[in-house]
Amino acid sequence: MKRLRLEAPQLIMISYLVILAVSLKYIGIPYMDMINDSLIKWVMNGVLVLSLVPMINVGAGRNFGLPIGISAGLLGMCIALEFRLEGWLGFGVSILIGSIIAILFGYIYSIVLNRLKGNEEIVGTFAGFSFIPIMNLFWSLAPFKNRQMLYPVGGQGLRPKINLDGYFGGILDNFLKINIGSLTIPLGLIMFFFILCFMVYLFQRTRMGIAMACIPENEAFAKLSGINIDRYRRIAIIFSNILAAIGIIVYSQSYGFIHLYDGPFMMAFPAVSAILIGGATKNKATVFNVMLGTYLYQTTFLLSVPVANALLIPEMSEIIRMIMTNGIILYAFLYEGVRKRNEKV
Amino acid sequence: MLKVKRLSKNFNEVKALDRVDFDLKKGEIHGIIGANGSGKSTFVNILFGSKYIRDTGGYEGEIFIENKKLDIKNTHHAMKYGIGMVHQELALLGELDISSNIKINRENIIDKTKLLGDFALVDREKNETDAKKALSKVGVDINPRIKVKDISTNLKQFVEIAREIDNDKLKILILDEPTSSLNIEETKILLSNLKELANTGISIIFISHRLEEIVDICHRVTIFRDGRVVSRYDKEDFDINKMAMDMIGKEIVQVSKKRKNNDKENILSFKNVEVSYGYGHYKNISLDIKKGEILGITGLAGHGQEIFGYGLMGLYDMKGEVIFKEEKIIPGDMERIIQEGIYLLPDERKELGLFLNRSVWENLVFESYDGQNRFLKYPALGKLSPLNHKAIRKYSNKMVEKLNIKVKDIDQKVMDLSGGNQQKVCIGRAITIDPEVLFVGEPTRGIDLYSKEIILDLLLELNEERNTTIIIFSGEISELKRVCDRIVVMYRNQVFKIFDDDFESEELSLALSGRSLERV
Repeated sequence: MKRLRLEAPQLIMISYLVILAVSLKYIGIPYMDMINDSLIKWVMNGVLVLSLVPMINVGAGRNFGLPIGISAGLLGMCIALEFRLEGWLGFGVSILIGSIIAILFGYIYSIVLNRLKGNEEIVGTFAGFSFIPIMNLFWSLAPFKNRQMLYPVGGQGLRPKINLDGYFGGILDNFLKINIGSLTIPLGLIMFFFILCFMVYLFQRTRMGIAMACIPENEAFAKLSGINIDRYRRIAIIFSNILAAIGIIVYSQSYGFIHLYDGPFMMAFPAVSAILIGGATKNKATVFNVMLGTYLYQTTFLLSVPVANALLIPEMSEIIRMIMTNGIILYAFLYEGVRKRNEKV
Repeated sequence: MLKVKRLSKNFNEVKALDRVDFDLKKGEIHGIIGANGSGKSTFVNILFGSKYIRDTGGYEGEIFIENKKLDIKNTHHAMKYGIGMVHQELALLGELDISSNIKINRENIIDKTKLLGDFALVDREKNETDAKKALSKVGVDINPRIKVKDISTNLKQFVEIAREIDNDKLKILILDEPTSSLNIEETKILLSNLKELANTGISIIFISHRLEEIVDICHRVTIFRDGRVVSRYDKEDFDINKMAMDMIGKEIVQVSKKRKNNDKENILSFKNVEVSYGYGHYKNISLDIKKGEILGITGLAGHGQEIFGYGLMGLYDMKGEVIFKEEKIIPGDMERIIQEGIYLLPDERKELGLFLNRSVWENLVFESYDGQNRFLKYPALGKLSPLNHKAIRKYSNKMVEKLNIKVKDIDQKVMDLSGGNQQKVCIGRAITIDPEVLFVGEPTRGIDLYSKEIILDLLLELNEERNTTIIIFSGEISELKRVCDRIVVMYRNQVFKIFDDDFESEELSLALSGRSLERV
């Protein structure tokens, strides 16, 4: 019954990917390394992208306020580190504390968004941006004691990048790693991602998930059918924030560092861009959109870095990255605008 | 004037129009009637160059205006040839005043600034006089400076017609159900003015479900059925019964209710409630609804026939005491109200009563799971339970068959159904939810004669078999008279009078305009 439809954005990305892959051959970079890296990059960012799904489906827009959920996750990790929790325990406690903080942040965020229905995306962007300085203040004043987290000089305030080596850096990456020749599959990491995806998928199939998906389509009717819209939106926003918190923890363990301060600043745009490439629209996103979009988006950048560096000036890859990320978001807005206008005629 | 030869139009595999021949004389009012989905809308959409027609592959056949063969490519073309159309859905700019709406794209320009081309200044005063003239042709006298958003829907209908009339190139005027939102008196005004308009040489194509109007003003009538012209009548041969037969292809049996005695207890009472909507605020409104009855609420448009349903369900702001089965409920507390067993099918079903983009089955069972546990796979999980698709599909198929909803299969989108079938889906959902009290707004609006009876019959059945209390708010008084136990007449947002059985009395007609026998 379901049709796999690839539309213009996906086709452009796929053809770009093919061009990059072909040109790799001429530069002399082995494919296997790239595939290995692409799998890690995929999951590393995948959970963050997945976190957009509940909010999109409830009609609260693409969550440009992603830094809020991310901050919750960062805080969770910092607390786990403060108690010097290592390995799985540290990872688990980070997720637990991060989720609890995400519930709190999500609740406050949902109050704001429920008051400003219809403008969630612009409000979210500003909420996310303005939240970062508040967190910056917190990072530099919070009474953490673990010396590995603090500025080496002065001993006060968290350092911008906290090394996770010896705590839970790479814990998922290295879990159940399978080597087939030179191909390395991080099975544990992928499984963790799939479990989260499956949870979101199951949630979409529940009575509540279905009702949520109906809200953006016809809010008045949903309300007449006895659905408490504000409550459902709140639940979805909190759910999104929890996933974002887990997302940054997964991201950090792959990255090897906790990136505080302005780290989350620009994280929303690549995530939104990825889900759009996957084929999500303003009000509808599926787990499949997330998986496809993240892979295409991340792999494209992975490949474009060496190619751009070899063929063009070294800074080119970052420029291309920005153009594509923001270009895709702009394209999606334009596409929606045009379609809306066509429907009216 | 207009001649159409062998006009055909296919949507995918379906033949919407099949070799239609049609002609229109100068100054003639030509009625087009047909059941929902008979092709009359497609026909006029082709004439008006609708984009939808072009996107779905254009049309076949020939169209002549004044013996000149035309190819109507788009709406702009159609207007250039002198065709004007007033749609069922209104297309006006609310923020502009009436005169600007009427003169849009034909503004009078102040002579001295003509040189400036598109930047020339608009002559407002002349626009206003023109607008007044056009409005007076349809029998309305109103200040053309008022903003369109501030006038009633009925008046908007007149403004829309005036806009087309103001076009001095206008030769053919197409009116799609112009009277559906008007009350009796307004309809009369409109119809008599249309007659005069035709006398000035403009030809009118008039589409309506109301046969009485057609018979009243049309010179000829063409009847569509399943995309074909089945018959055509001249004024001398008009016969409503025969026309209705042609339209449906079978005889219509009018349903009516055997009235029960009314000594029952109250199920729902409104006690001195306050309601506000739009700019209005109304106080001291009271009404008792009795268990198991069918209550009709009527009144002229804008007099508040819908306030009880809409207020209780939170669409309008309602405050005050509402008692349901001896317990107080708070208007607008939807979760509780639905759980208690009160449900509303609003009159704006496309906007408020359906997910147009979703399938028939989704619309049939939406949020009915509290009463229908079997639709949930694991009812113990409550709201987190997935749906039991097998049970739902089985039930939906049964419903579609029982209600005689015409669909390809239950996965078809509701958007693709005709108005009557959409309404059946709504009622299907109400049956699924099985409420104790059901509010229904304008259940038969925009629905053809045949489907109307089916829908009314469904409501009667629901009332008889499950003893559901049904409140119908509607302007179709003749229908209410047939199915209701009691009729409430609203006047200026107050309960003016309640009629128990003397529905045929003169008093009921008087009450509509706020008069009673004693005072006359």
